Amino acid sequence: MAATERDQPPTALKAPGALRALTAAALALPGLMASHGVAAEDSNEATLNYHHYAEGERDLEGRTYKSLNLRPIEVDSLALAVRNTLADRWRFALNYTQDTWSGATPVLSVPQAAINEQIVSGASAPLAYLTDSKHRPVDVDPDSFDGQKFKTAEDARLVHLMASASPETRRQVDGRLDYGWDRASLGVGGGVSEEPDYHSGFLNVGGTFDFNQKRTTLAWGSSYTVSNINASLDANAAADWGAYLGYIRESRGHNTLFGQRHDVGATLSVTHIIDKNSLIEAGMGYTRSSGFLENPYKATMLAFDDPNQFVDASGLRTVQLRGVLEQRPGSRDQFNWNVRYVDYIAPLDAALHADYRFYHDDWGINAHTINLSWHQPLGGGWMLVPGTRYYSQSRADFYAPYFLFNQEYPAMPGPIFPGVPRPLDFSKLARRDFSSDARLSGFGSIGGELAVSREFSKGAKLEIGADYSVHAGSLKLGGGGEKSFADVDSYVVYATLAMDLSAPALAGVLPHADGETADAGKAPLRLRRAPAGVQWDHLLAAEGDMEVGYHFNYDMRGNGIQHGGRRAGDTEIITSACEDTLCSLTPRDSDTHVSTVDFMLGLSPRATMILSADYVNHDIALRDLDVDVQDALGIIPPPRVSYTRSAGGLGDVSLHFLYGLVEASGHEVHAGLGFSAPTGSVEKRLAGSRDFSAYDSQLGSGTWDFHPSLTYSGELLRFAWGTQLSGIKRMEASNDAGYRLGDQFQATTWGSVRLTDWLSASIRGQYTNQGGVHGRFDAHAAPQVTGTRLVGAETQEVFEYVDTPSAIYGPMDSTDSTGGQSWDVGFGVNAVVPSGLLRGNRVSVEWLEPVADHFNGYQLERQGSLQLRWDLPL
Amino acid sequence: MPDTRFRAALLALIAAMLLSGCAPLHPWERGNLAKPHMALTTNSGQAAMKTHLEMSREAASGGGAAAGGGCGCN
Repeated sequence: MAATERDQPPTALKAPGALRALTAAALALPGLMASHGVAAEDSNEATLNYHHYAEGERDLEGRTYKSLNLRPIEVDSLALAVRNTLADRWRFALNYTQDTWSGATPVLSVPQAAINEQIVSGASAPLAYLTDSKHRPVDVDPDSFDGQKFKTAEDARLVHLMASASPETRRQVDGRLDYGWDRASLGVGGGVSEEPDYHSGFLNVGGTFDFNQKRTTLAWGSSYTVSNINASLDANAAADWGAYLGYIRESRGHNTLFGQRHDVGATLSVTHIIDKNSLIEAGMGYTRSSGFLENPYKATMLAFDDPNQFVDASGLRTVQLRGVLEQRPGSRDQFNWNVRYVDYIAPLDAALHADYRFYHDDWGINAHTINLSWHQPLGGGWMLVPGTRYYSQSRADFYAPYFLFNQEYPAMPGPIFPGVPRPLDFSKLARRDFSSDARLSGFGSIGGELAVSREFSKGAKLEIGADYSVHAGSLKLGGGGEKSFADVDSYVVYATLAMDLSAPALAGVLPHADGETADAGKAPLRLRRAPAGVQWDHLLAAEGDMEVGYHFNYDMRGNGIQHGGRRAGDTEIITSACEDTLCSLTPRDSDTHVSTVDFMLGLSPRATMILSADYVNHDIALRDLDVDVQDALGIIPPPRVSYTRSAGGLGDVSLHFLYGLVEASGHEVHAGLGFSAPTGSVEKRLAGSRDFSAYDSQLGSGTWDFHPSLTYSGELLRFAWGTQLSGIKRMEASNDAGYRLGDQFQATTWGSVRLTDWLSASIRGQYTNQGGVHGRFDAHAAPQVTGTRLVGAETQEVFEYVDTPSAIYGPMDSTDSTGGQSWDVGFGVNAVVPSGLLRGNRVSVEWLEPVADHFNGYQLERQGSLQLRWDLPL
Repeated sequence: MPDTRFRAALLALIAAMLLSGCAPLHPWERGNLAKPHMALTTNSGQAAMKTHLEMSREAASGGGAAAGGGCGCN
């Protein structure tokens, strides 16, 4: 398609190319712009970051994670950041971050002797342990009684008790606005962070001042954060909450702890350019935290060795245990001093980064952090960065793996119920604060990291990195760290895509061989593209052309369960929506966010290759179905139910080829062939259970899939239109979790009109036929009562591990309630930035409004979806 | 008190660097300093994520003015 006369870019931009390029390069020099004199922080860029953290398994003294239905903690994070110049002297930064946490962490630690005693006594929790006459914890062999004594063995081991939290997603949005003078800058910023149990809001203000001919920059900042905590105490139901009774209320059927904390901080730093090859920053910071500083999910074990207890001939003493919620002081003063040094190693064109930080707080913790990294350019835009980090901290004054008191169990006066631990009288304890949270223990950690990055032409950079670290008490500086039971290793893998937003503008003013500018005519052509919700809609114009795109799809469902075109009531859902069982839960609403990054490469004027990766996030909020009806039907509610199901992480990765079939004036037809690889997890399970989470809350399809498409697009004057048929065919009978998603067929038609040189509006219709799930989640081995036997005079139940299907609590767990047909209409706008630093960036937004649905089974009503697309030619 | 020693060392360092030549460094002498791998923080997005994780694993967090939210309680 030839560019028309109107499509030529304004001639003014062609003019002083070399001068503009030089000015921009000069502006990137440290010291010429505000903010620490750091080149990277002054650039106009958008970055997308994916980060995956996973811990290894801890030593649980013979018990395995698998036998306890636990998985080590994992965190999947995604962050999107944009930094740019608004006008002459204004700069802004916007950040969006989300992280999803899943897996199990330690709740508290106990002597292993208490676990052995629990096994011997058959108790449901560790209630006591035995010591010898020298107060050393011992294991007792119950079959060794010789008429006078038991045989005992000293057991000094400690062990964690673990708990799984239900997966949770935290989302943070923050921004900052700065104004720069010639030698100073001032900025304000703020943001919010939201997770189901913790809500923070923060504000900050800061500035810089350059002096000494801009060789030295003084930076200051201060911040205020307020956080509200509402933590469910389900995981700590067995602990004594006595110290917090005033904080605990019932919320949505859960005992919930409500607290608030405040953090006020200030920093001051000086950055100085030592010479033309090195710079140094020295800074200090202070933060005062006050309010509820506890970790509401950590408990600690108090042990009472009554000095007046009866001791038999074996000399064995009983130490009584009681778990309590941890208690920390109500305030914390924290100090930081840090130095960062960067040295340019000219013969190798490399940079050495050396950082040191010393931390001190009034909880008794002193910590040292050393970071070293070597940044080695390898030519061709490649960079290799090996690095290492060492961290060491002393323990807090009120940390211990458990707390031993040489006193009688200090029970509150009151009635005694057999089998129920008596509430503690905290006023009879010699200490007020106690925590067994490993992050307050004495330990060290050492790690190595390696990052590789490649800078592509015109300002796109991809960085991939990994690090591995070991956390161990024995690594603490000066020794005396926590024992080895708390040791754990972890790794991180990450990828960052950074786009220099001002690069296209610079490229646009550099003359091409034929005298045309690099992106001549591209902006209006890109205005004719399909609306934001249509994928694979265009070919790149020439071999070697590159484009990067980001697509965000936000699907919302809610407003009750639909069945056969009407709303279903609770009784109907209970009796009909859970296959051959009865439902106890139902979804209240659900959100799906999918972020997709596309790399497009023109193979020839007729062929384009697209590599895409998804980052997926699902949140389902559940509610109890009518409890009276459930009672009447004799449904026994599941023991511990989480009312949210969240999952987030890398989805499927796909490769597509588009091939132009017809290209006549104003008309184009191209075919697409794509394949997706099952990189997204399909084995997300409910917390602390072998049961799978809903089919709709898995991250990928789990199968290799084939994605064909056929697209027609046309244009005349200010109008453009198109039609696309696309499908997904699953190429395997089932995935690793035992099922296969249904095939999909989609047809869509759109029309758009160009309103101005840089803006167009669109309308679109879409039909989707999504097949239901085939097969179902694999069964898993679970203990079931298969009979009884007589032991002496007692009847005991006999357990056996039998294959148990994944539980169906509600319609979201049933394959009958997946798939269906839907009709939508979409309204969108599409803008290509015509000039300025952001020239060449295209942003399109579309809202898809559901018109009609025909679902299989029982599903939440669709409430619409938001589509956002940004792309930029490289 | 170890922290007094560190404070003294830091002050000495700051003083040393402020005295380390106050002659102007001309823009054309700043080419090496402008290289992206000479920035104090080369990948700020990744650094922010790392900081949030360290906050949930280590005690020496906070103390800075770079406010951010989140419990990191796991």
